[in-house]
Amino acid sequence: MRATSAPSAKKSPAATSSPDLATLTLLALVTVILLLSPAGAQQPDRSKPPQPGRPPSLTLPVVQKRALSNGIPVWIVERHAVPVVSVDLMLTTGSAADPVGSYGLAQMTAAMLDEGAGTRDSLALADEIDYLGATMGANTTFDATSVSLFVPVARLDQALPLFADIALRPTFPQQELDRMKAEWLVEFQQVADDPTSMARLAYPRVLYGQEHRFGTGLSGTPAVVQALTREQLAAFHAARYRPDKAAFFVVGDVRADAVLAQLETQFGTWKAGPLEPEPVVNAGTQHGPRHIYLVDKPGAAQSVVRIGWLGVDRATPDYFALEVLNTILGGSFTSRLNQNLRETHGYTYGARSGFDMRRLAGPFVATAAVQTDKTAEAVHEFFVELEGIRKPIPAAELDKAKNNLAYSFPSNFATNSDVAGQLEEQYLYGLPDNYYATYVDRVLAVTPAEVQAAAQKYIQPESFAVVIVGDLKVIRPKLEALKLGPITVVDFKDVL
Amino acid sequence: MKLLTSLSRLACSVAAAAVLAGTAQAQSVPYTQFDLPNGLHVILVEDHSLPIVTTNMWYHVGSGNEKPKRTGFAHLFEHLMFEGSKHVPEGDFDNLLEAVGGDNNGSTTSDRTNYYITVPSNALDLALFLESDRMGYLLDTMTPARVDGQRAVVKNELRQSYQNAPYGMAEIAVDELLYPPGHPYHWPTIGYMADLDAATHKDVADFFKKYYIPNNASLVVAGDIDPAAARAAVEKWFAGVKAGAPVPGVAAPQVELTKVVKKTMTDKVQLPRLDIAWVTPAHYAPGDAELDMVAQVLAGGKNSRLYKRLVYDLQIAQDVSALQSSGNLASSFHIVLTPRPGHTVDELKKVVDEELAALRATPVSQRELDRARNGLEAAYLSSLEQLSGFGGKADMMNGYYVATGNPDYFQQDLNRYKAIRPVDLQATVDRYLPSDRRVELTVIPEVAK
Repeated sequence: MRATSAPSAKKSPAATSSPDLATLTLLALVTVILLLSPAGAQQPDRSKPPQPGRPPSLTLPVVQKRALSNGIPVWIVERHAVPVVSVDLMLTTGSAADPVGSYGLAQMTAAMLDEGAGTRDSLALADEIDYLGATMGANTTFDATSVSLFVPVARLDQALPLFADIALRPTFPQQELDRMKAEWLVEFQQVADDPTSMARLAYPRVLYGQEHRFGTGLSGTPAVVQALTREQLAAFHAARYRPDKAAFFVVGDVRADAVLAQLETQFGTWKAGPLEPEPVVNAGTQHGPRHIYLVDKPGAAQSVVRIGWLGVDRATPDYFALEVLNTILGGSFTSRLNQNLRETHGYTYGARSGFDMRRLAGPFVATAAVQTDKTAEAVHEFFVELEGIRKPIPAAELDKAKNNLAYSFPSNFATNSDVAGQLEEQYLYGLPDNYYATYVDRVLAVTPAEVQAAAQKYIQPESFAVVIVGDLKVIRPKLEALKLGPITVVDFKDVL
Repeated sequence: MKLLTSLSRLACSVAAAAVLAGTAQAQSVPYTQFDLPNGLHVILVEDHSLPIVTTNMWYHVGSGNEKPKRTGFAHLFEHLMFEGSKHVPEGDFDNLLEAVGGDNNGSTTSDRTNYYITVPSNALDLALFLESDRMGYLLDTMTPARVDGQRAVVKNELRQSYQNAPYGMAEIAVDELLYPPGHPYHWPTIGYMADLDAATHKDVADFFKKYYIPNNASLVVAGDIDPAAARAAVEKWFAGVKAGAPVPGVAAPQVELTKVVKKTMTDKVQLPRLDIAWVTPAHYAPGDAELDMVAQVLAGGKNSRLYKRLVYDLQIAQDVSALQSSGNLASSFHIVLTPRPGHTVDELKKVVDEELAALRATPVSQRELDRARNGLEAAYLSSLEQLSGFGGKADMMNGYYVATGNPDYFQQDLNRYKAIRPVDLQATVDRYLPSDRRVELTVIPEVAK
């Protein structure tokens, strides 16, 4: 299969000092090849990197916006490259709708949907779904619930009735709930195995407290899970899974008319019951002044560091400035945090930052897992960068970040689930129809002043919470010496 | 890997694990290919679904090419490939790519090292410039300080992905038990902490000269390209890179376990864990696809044999997984189980042995076989949605080319699964998963001080 070997283009005449006849013949041949071959022989100009031409424009997926007869919106994107389809049923209420005292209810309800539905029990459902090569499941965020189906398109017709059963007609059998609760309770125990998981729970608890919904993980707490009843799940399902809060997102190898008819058959008669008011979640209380919270993990090889405070909601007018800001701070490989903590100091395998934007402000976090003996040094460097980002940003660095965000935009539309994810974000947060068409221009329009104003407003290191899960007997003395603020040791049991 | 992703052979073979066609449509990806005079094999794939292009380079060297006491070197070297080369100042590899909206990464296994760069299609020349410069001119600027810098990063990767990850060190220990000292799969791809310290600048130079040569590499350029222009661009940037001496393949003796090899280790975890492992046929060898199916039958879904009995019915296990982890020289098959509090690994092992005995005694039902096959097929189709990145179509085609000589091996790969009958699985379990020749690695919780 490999081509027969030809003279290497590197054998230039200049490299041959005293050519004999045979070499001369060879050289002549090489010269001919050099002349005939348009690019193969000459060394390209490496003195400066090649400049890219005009960025190509992305042809956005065509979204066909339809609706079922009961009003449920159906957004369809036909993509015929691979014979598969993703169908997401999104409900615009999620774990933020958990009643006080029952944090975890929405997530458990979602997890139980395929444990018995319609006329099938848990095993029969799984057998049918697996036989079709389908994947079905449900999950929540604080803002939404997604019931999702992935299936080779040839079997969509067989999968949809099962999908409708789990979304609309779950039976919540007692024995399956008992089984699921036992499984979750062990998973709660296992969180203590993993410092990263520990930090992911400790950080929002420190920021929002025990009462606020955002202060507890989506799965809730062991005490709540232990107490959940099937009646609670059924009531939650009846109240929150409703056609007037639902929308479908279908992406894949389908025809819009055909899939709309299929969905109409399965979901067109779904009727809404009376609307119960959702619990009101307040915005939370901003953190400050700066405080260190330590969680002990004896013998840990690394400390997991999470630093920040309450960030901002998705509707913020500062969205694009914040995207650019975060790209520079910790949202890319060349970001300041990663360059400093990984490339310059070698304290970590990677450092990053991000704003978790929800209907209400989720956390801003700067984070890394750093080697235990350099924990204080690493925390110091975090604050060097968090202070530094508030100062004017050099033009070249700003341009790099804007270009990175703007021109990597097409990669957000690679797979069916990528496309569905973009549509769902648009729908859930009410983004305008031209949001994606104008995305690149809006990123490129961000000004240095806007980025600096956003940094001043949203990055205030003197007010930040610093949560560290690590080996306290090793890391605490040097952290105290940093004098960043008061230190509180948090018992991990109080975080669960 | 460069970023926060796993680098184990196990993780990689999940992406590569393939499946059967239950749909009528044959899977095929058109391509062209050619060799440069220096031996670089090039595969071009035209795909205009997005205005992006990806370069996917495989160097046919992995941790299996290392020597004892110098482990982790192939992977450390992978990190160095991002630190600049003669015409690319340190840091600019990523700076230049991010400035055009590009993305890049690399990964190392026992068998190979791969790199991808994904850019908007206007920046293909930049990607090829960067990829060719580090193939041709890496050593010109490779200072000891750069080696030390990435040595520190890799040590933190080892801490994060293994030492500080629950049961992470067991992944390393099980290979040490499966493969004898000196076997290329005996040591972990990430390397041992002490060996990472031992790597010298001379090691870097020797490794580069021996393995990072065009005649030991293959390149896929896929996406929004004009094939003729892309070919000219590849020739422009790579034709001048000198070929090196041919690289001999990695030789390894056939591995046969002759007894049950047991080991117990401790970790900072709440619950014990048992990893039962066998050495099994290499990737694409007879038995490999069958073992992917056996893994599904044992632990794929609620009705799979082990999941149903241990997790669903008896509820004495928190979780169970089964995996055929495929490699060039050999594969390993794993059944990994975590007992619920109050239960023991021995209780679980007894059930595993009962279920393996049942699979040896009686063929699986057609329904069971179809369920496993359809699940594998759907996962395979799902992987075809992504062009770039690890496990994307470009990466798969490079792997297919390396393993079979045919980049468009998609349908043949699926066909491996299509042909399997219930009696084949019976014979596979009987032959490759004996109860008296295997590794049993038990992790027990450290006793609190």
